Amino acid sequence: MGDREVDEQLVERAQAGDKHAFELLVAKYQRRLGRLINRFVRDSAEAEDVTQDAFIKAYRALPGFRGDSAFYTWLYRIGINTAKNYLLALGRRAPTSTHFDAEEAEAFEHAGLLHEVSTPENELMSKQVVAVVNESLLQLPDDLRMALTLREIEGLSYEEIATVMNCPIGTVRSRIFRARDAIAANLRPLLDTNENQRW
Amino acid sequence: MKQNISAFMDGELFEDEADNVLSRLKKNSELQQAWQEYHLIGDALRQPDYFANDFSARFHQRLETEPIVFAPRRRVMQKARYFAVSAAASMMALALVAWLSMQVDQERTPQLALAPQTLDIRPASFSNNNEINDYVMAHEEFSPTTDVHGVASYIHSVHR
Amino acid sequence: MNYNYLILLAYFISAATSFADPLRDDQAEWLKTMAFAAHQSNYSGTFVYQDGVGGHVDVSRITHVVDENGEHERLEKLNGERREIISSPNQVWLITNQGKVRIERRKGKRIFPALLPEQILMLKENYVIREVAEDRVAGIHVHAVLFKPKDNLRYTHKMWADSQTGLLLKAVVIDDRDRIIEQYAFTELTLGDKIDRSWMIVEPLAQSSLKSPNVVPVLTAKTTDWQIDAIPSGFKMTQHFCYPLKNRNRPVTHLVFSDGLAGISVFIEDLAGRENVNVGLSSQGVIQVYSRVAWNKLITVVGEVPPNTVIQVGDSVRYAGVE
Repeated sequence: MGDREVDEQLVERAQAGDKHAFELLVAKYQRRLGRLINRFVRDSAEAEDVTQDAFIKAYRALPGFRGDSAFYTWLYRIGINTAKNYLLALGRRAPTSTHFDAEEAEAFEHAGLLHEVSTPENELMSKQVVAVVNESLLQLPDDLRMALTLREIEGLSYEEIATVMNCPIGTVRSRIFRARDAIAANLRPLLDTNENQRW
Repeated sequence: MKQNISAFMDGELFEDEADNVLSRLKKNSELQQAWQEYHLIGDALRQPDYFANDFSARFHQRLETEPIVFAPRRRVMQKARYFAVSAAASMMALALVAWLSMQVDQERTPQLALAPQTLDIRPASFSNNNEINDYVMAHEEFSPTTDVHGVASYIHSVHR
Repeated sequence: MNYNYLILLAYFISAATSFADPLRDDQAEWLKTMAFAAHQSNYSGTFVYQDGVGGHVDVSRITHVVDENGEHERLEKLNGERREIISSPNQVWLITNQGKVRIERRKGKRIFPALLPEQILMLKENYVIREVAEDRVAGIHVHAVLFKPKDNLRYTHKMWADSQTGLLLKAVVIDDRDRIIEQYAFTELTLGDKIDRSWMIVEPLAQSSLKSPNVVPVLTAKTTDWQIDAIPSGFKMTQHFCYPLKNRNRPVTHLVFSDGLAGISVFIEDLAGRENVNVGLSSQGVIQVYSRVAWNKLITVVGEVPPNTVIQVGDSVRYAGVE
């Protein structure tokens, strides 16, 4: 809910010529879109390239985005089309042949019907990131952990979280920030060293 | 400032603050890093099986070579600080009754100071004094009280 | 051992800053919301004003509209003699049965946002701000804020605003003995775009973007020659002018002090052979006016503060310039 407002603001800025605003959207959705495309394009390195292509296509198609749907729904459609076209050009078939829309793609994701093939490096990295994030989460004080979980997993707004946790909204904002800040601090060494290992 | 990134990404800032944050994000690499990290944390919690390193940096290179898209579009302000005004329902009427009986403080009910002799000083009312009103008007123009809640900068100049 | 001490210190510092924020942010947020609503909304309403000391009651209508030039306001007394003030970013008009009089505007256009961070800081320094969460008044969800001063040189303010829109519904000023100095409350308030704007002053765009030639916020020797020894702590001088006040032959020095919520103005002018100057104390609700003569000048203090305070300020004005 709060997500959509942020996306709209960023899209508006991007449409007005602010490339950096679009990059913020990319940073936000790169993993989600990448994961989706990975379902079609099984090789991780290829999938990443196709994801990049999809974002570029989305950037070029921005003038056509009028805000009728949510940004990520629109982005997903572009992602799927990009993936399918890529496979067609290579003479490969997509896992399912008939029309495919964003909702169906997500449904497939949840049902785990599409299999992913990832490189060992990628897999290791993502496992490490997930491990650090989850361990850090467990180490947090209860109220910080609860606030972040309600926000990120349950998708509640600050106001809803304030009601659930019986505290002022300002406290919710502060707890979520402190949780993120603490986890990010633990992630930083991992991300820094990884950047040094370019393949 | 990073706290604002956290609130902004959740869509919990008002428009005016969000604009401010976006402007700062553009120039501040530490804030950009926070944006990346916080989103990574959320993704790691929700869908722990995909990670692409270095994506943003590589995308940045590609985006640089793209011509700038320019198709501005006016959209409706979402989280404006004044809410409750929609196109269809643009009028809202409030009715207040019995305002005089409202308690000021929960512990005590104050009394109206109708008896002047209970005050230490007995000021004269300036209702018929035009000269004094000039000063009051000049003063009211700058009254900080109206910064806080608006309502009639010249309320005392009108009610003499 | 030194290492452990540093870790402990770092912990305390970070703990202190993290404790400081959450509640303070709420209060500041509500103040900002109230100020924003007041200055950025279009609204029209009727309110009842009561002078707690003098005892009289007035009913007025206020209309507030914002356009690309800024804020426009119309304030109309509905009972008694006709008295109306219409203001726009560059002009203020006073309308009575005797006719229309233009008052010069010295303050420039308000910029967005309406409540500056410095002002919020000042408010927090000088008042204990408590949000008194009161649920409903006559079926409307309201949010109340209490400003309690840290000394008895100012008044306590309490404001009730509509939770949904942030607009003020009622305000009360009380003294340290819990007596109501003044109060006003809306009996009816309408928000929206379909508000009558026929009364608004239309300014040509070119003119409104320039400062009015009569606005002279000049720092002259005159304004710095005067010292005010007993200004209450927490009040800062925010402006100083020297300009011709209506009907005066010589320019008047006007010093403006603010503590974030209450204002004190000090006017200093030549007596210049005037007779029949009024000295002493006068009041209208929360506004106290005190005049005194010294150094052949008429010193007038106007403030939303108790009588003792304006007297204290007025008596402590002294000339510190070179003769």
